[in-house]
Amino acid sequence: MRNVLIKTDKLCKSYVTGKQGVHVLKNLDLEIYEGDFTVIMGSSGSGKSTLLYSISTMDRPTSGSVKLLGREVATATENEVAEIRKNEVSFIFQSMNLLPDLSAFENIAYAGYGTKERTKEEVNRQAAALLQKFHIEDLKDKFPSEMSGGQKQRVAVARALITGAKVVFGDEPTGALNSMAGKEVLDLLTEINKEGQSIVMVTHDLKAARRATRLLYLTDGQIDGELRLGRYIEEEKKKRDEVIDQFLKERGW
Amino acid sequence: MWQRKLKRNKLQFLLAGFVLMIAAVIISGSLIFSIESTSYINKFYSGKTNPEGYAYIKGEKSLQSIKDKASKNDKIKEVKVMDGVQLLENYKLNGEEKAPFYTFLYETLNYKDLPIGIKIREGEEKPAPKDDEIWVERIFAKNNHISLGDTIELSNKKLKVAVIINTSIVPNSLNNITPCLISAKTRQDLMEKNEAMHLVAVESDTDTEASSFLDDALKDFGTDIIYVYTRSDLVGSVESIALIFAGCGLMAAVMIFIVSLVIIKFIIKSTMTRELQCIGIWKALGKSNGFIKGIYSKAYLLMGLVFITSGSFLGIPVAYIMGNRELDNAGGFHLSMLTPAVILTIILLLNLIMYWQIRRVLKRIDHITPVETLRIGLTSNEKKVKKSLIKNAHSPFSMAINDIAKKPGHSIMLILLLSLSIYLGVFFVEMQYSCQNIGTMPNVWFGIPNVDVTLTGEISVSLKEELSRMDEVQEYQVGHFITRLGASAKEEKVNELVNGSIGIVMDHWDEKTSKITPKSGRLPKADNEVVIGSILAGELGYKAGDELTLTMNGKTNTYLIVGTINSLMSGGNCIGFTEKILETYPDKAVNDYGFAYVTLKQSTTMEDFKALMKQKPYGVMVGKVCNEIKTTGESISEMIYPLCIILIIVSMLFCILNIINLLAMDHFENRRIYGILKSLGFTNRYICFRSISKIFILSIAAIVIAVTSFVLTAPTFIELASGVDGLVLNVKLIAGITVAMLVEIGIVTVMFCLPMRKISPKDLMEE
Repeated sequence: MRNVLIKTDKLCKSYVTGKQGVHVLKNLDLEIYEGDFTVIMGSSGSGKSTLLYSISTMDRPTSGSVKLLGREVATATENEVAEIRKNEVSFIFQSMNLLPDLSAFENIAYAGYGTKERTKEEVNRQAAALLQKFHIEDLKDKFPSEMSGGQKQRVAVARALITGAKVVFGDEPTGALNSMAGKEVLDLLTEINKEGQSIVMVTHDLKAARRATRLLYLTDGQIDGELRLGRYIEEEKKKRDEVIDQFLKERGW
Repeated sequence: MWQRKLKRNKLQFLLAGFVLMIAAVIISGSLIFSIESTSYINKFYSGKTNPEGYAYIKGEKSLQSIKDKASKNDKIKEVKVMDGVQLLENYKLNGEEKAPFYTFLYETLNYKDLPIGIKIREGEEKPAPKDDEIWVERIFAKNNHISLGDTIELSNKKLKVAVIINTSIVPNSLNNITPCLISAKTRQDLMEKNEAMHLVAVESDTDTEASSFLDDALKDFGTDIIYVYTRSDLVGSVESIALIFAGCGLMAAVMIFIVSLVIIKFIIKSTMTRELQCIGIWKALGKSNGFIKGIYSKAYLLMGLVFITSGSFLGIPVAYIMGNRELDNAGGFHLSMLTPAVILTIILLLNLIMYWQIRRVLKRIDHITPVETLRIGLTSNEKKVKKSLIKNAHSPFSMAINDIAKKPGHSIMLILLLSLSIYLGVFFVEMQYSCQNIGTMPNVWFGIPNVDVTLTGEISVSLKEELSRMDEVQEYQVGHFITRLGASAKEEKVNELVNGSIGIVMDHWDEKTSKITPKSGRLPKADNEVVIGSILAGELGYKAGDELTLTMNGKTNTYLIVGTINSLMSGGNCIGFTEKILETYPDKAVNDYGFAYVTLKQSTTMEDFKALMKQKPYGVMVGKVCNEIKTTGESISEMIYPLCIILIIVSMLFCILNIINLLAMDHFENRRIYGILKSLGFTNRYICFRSISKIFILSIAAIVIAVTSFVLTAPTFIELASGVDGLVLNVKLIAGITVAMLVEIGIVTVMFCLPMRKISPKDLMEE
């Protein structure tokens, strides 16, 4: 029996554009499990990013319940939500969103200070270790304006891991990268998932989708299908791809 | 396109516009006030009721001699005389004993026939006072709390205050000799115990001719002539105040305008940096440099035109407030066709300067290429990012320090405008405080002792003996004024100046007791030693160690100048003597009417001493300073007050508007950063504290700069403006105004943080 990290109950999210209301998510029930590399796909406007932001505390749902690690976040106070963002979840953005005035090392370490009762020295050591792990030690003192897209995204992934978050969310993390850089980032994410890190990712990228252990398809704000896959193994890629392609084809992808 | 930019950034344009408007209001108000009041006062005194020269003469012989001399002088058209009486005794107001009635009372049958302009301000319109009435001059009435209907008792004669008048020879409260009107019978009655005093009005073609005639007369009549002045002196007393007002206002306004331009240029540069990619896209689509520059410049030019124009017109009521205060006695403030000309000039000039500065900033657009801008990206920062000052920073305070260090340009801008605002606020508060304390710092402003109590009146031998015996008295000094020395010297230039000088006489000069600190040298000890006013010393080119030979009342003496003192007595034309000089002036008025400067023992308060003296039969006025100094101080303070209040409010508004503008820009530029911080789990409080810490650190730096600059420069400004080093530093006041501004800044900063609380990271990061 796997642990449920995130559970939604009749989750709804609406926006008002001009005078019209747009209902993006409609009574969505969903569970995310520990250890999974969950990928959410769907056509444009299906509500993928909206769903991701709603369950990751980056945005508030209009109605319904979102329980993250057993805690209701839909109605939590600002301070409670900040505490969850600090210690329990982390986010990787499509446009990286590194702090422009901090170096790579500082971007990673700054996110880790004050988390899980660690000292600054411990955080610094971990930041250095992450830079090494992701082969970006030479970027330590560089600023985001001096890095390529792939380098920035690797720093962003390191930043996401420094807090020891239970869940790492990613919104099209390879969307702004070329294929080589994108592959490097996906390899990183796959590797950390193998180590036990739970990941929830939204993507349009088929290559990214193929790294999933669980694939969810969203249509008009509802879960339209689910595909359970095993861990990504390079050697079994071909068979895995066929299953995924079929799943997506059935849903009009 | 430029209209859309205006709409989109309307808050920014509004705030920058309001700051420009403030600058325009003050520039316009100051200029209109000084130009119109100067123009008006010259016209006011060119009328028939304003002869070119005036002299106060006692002694019938001297009066007749002047009339005879005038008849033989073909440059003098006419000499008119107002017959009056001088009282030096105490008077009673509604039964209460008051200070000596230090003014002159003139008889008249019809005030309209008098050679000076008279206007009835309160009371019934009638030709002249009745036998039981007195018409009191308005400034004298105000300073001595005399109202219509009050009863004044002079030499046992009771007179009702029937009318309050303005006179043309008292344009403002800097002119101390304020005439009152009585009937011929009242004058006759008062003459039994008091001296005659005549006001002689001399008409000639020019002021110089009148002045020359009266100066000649002075040589012959010495101390029979109490005071001489010309129409130019009256005009000058108004103009000098107008110039001080206008000068201070203009100084503040120009500084505000310059800083506003700096801020607008900064805003344009920041906006262009932020919109670099847009500029690149426009260029890539083939838009010309002129087109792109036009998008930026048109919006700002429209803003400038609207706000500078509005501000220039709003300067009119400001000029009215200042002008009516200053010219209240001279008929009030009036506008003429000069005002539209001034307003038009200001609008053109300020807009041109603004346009020129904006064009300079926008020249940068000529050098931008599409490729560079598109490569750099949306929120690009072309400049290399600086390393963090504090390593491993995490707390809001340490991150704020890093934020400041990484953006030196922005930080310096904030410090600049905060420093200026605080400097101006402190300057005008201190200026008002210093003026308020003119009366309590007579040693600084007038070169007379600053002691616990001053007794004014007849300082008789018995009074001196009493003071020597009193347990409450630690020590005392006795002083007199010789209101006009009537001295002459060999050199023409010296002669001109010392003739009208005032003599400050002390029985002994004691620096410690009197707190009079010589500006140079020391105070006199021997009878042949004098100190001279620093303004007089400057004009004569004299210094300590020089000799001054003077002939006074036929006696010639050579004095050694041992020092100079700060004093505004008689416009700085004053000489300090020992008591020996009184032998040269055997004049009852000089010798009997004087001052006892008393230092009390620590156990006695002024109020106790006052109560004690009231029981004694000496009839002297008891106060911190003599009444004349007190009223002069209050008058100056009253004149300066509205100007200072306006300028204090302006500097606080200036501070708040610019802070809002820069914070608004700061928050807009940093929205994405705040979103990232929120997504990383930083609380609203953390983000707010970081912002407040940054502003707090910059504010502290600004306060240090402002207060240091103030302490170093303000005394010089005050001395340049007034002639004396009269700035009174009040640490509590300085602390109060700086704290008030800090609180103002803090409130605005917190207000800007509040809206962020409810916004999600996603919304903040969306651009």
